[in-house]
Order: sequence, then C-alpha cells, then structure tokens
Amino acid sequence: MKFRRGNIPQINSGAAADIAFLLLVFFLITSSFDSKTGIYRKMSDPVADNVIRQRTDILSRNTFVVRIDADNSLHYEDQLVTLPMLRYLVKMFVENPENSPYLAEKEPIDIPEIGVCPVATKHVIKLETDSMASYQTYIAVLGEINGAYNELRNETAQRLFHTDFSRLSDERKEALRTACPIHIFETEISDRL
Amino acid sequence: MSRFRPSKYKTVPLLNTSALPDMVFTLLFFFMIVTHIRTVPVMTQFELPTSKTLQKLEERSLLLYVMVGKDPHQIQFNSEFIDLTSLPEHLQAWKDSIDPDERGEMTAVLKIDKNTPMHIVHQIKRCLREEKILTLHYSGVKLTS
Repeated sequence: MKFRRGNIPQINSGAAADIAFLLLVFFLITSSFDSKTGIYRKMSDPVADNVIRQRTDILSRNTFVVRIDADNSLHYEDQLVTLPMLRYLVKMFVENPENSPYLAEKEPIDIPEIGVCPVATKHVIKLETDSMASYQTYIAVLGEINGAYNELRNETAQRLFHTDFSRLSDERKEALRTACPIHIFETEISDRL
Repeated sequence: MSRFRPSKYKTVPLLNTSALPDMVFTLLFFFMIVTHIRTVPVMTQFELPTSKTLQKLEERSLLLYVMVGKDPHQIQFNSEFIDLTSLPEHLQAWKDSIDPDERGEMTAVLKIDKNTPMHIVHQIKRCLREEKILTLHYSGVKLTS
C-alpha cells in the first residue's frame, strides 16, 4: 500500500520569519531591562519603634553607632572610618569571638537544628543619617552592614553544616536567622528641628 | 561576441531563507530570558546607587513603586508624577484600590537617584511606615571591582 502519491508540495515558510519578528518586537516593547537587584530592609512598626526609643535597658556595649554626616563621611564613635573598616567592625561587634565585655552581649538560646548556641540577641546597630547626606552613601553603608551579616551567617553555616547559607534547607536557614539576627535601627539627624 | 555569457547564467540564484525564522526565534528567546515584563513605566530619570552586596527582588509580594529622579522634585508614584506632600493620600488611595485579601505582604520598591539628599528618602520612608508598608527594597546596581 502506498501512502503518498507523487511529490508533497513544499510549505511556504517565507512568512515564518515575519511572524517571529512580530513576536520579537512585541517582547521588546513590553519588557524592560531595569535592574531587579537591591537591598531589602524591613522597617519596624511605628509602635515598636516608640518602645525601642523609650527603652533604657539597652546597654552601651550592645549598641554600635554609625553616623553618616552631611559631608558623607562615616563615623564610628566619633572616629572617621572607611567602608571596608565598617564591615569588619560590624562583624567583630556582632560576632564577639572572644566574649569581650565591650562588644555585643551574647546569651545561650536553644535553637532547633542547631542546639544551644550563644546568640547576640540584644545588640543594635544604630545608623544615624544626616538629612543632607547623599543616598549613595546610605546605600553603600547599608550594603556593608548587610555584607557583614552575610559573612557572619555564611561562616556560621560553614562551621555547623559545612555549606554556604544559600544552600541550606529552609528549616536550617530559619535556624541560622535566629542564631544570627539582624538588628538595624535607623535614625535621622536633622538640623532643621 | 564570445565574451558575453549565455543568458541562463544571468539569473541570480535564490537566497535560502529557511534558517531565518530560526535566527529570529533565537533572538526572541534571548530577549525573553534577559528581560522581564514591565509593570510600571519608568518615566523618571535616575542613576541608581551602587553597593557591594545586593539581593534580588522577589516578585511574589505586592509591589508598589516610588521613584525619585535626578531632580529631587520629580517624584513618580507607580505610573504618575506626584508631589512629595501628597504621597500619603496617594498611598491611601492605592491601598484602598487593592482587595483586602491580597493586601498581605506589600513591598515598596524605591528607585532613587544616588545624589538625592537623605531627608527626601526619610520623608518617603515615614509616609510608607505610617501606611504600614514596612518592607522596602532599595534598588541598586552591583559594584564590580
């Protein structure tokens, strides 16, 4: 039995390119290249903020004050610092490897997946920004503080689970978030008040 | 007259365009992968700040955009230009236009020019906070060096 008799006529594919071009133009118009990268920040609730402001039991050893001046210079406890220095200082402050009485206080907490581990629960990184400082400096400082916390979490992940933080399971990530909490408190310095 | 070739050689051979659609499709896929659907038109001119550590924006939550241009008086809220003092009303209207069931997690995407003075940023943050929009995403560009 024969299926085909004679030649099959060729399909005219001349318009296929036009269709594809139309699709391409459609995507070019409806899509954009703008960046989707940035820094996530969770602001505290206005009510919680007032509570923090009124708290007097935050010891000075638990606060790390960074100030951004109007001329975009960075100060840590009235000393001029650079961005890489700031990252190192924040990391040392939160990690407090030698349990120094001048750095963040740690208390043992029982965390699932990890067990009992000393956590700097009470520390606060206080970021004071002058109202005339530029946004670029602010973002660079936030990036460095985040970078310090990321390094800390990665090192803890390496020590406990021998992998990077980003490769952990969700439960372990949550456990590490409890073990290395992020506490950033922002205030504004304004001369106009 | 032997220099003239017979007329049958004069016709140009047909150009084979059967691979053309494939090439265009490759281009199309390239654009589909590297770009994403635009949600809000960017009408403001700005240069984003740079930072060493950045996170990717997760589009699972409800997004709202606030942009501040090179000229700090040019402020764009979603797809319209507004005045900074009227931001609370616009935020309120935007919140009301959204179904309360979907209101759960709202993220404000802040695209702000890098030379903007901080008091504008603080004012925007204050407005967002009063409206209980607490998750922020400061757009930035990765610093490579």
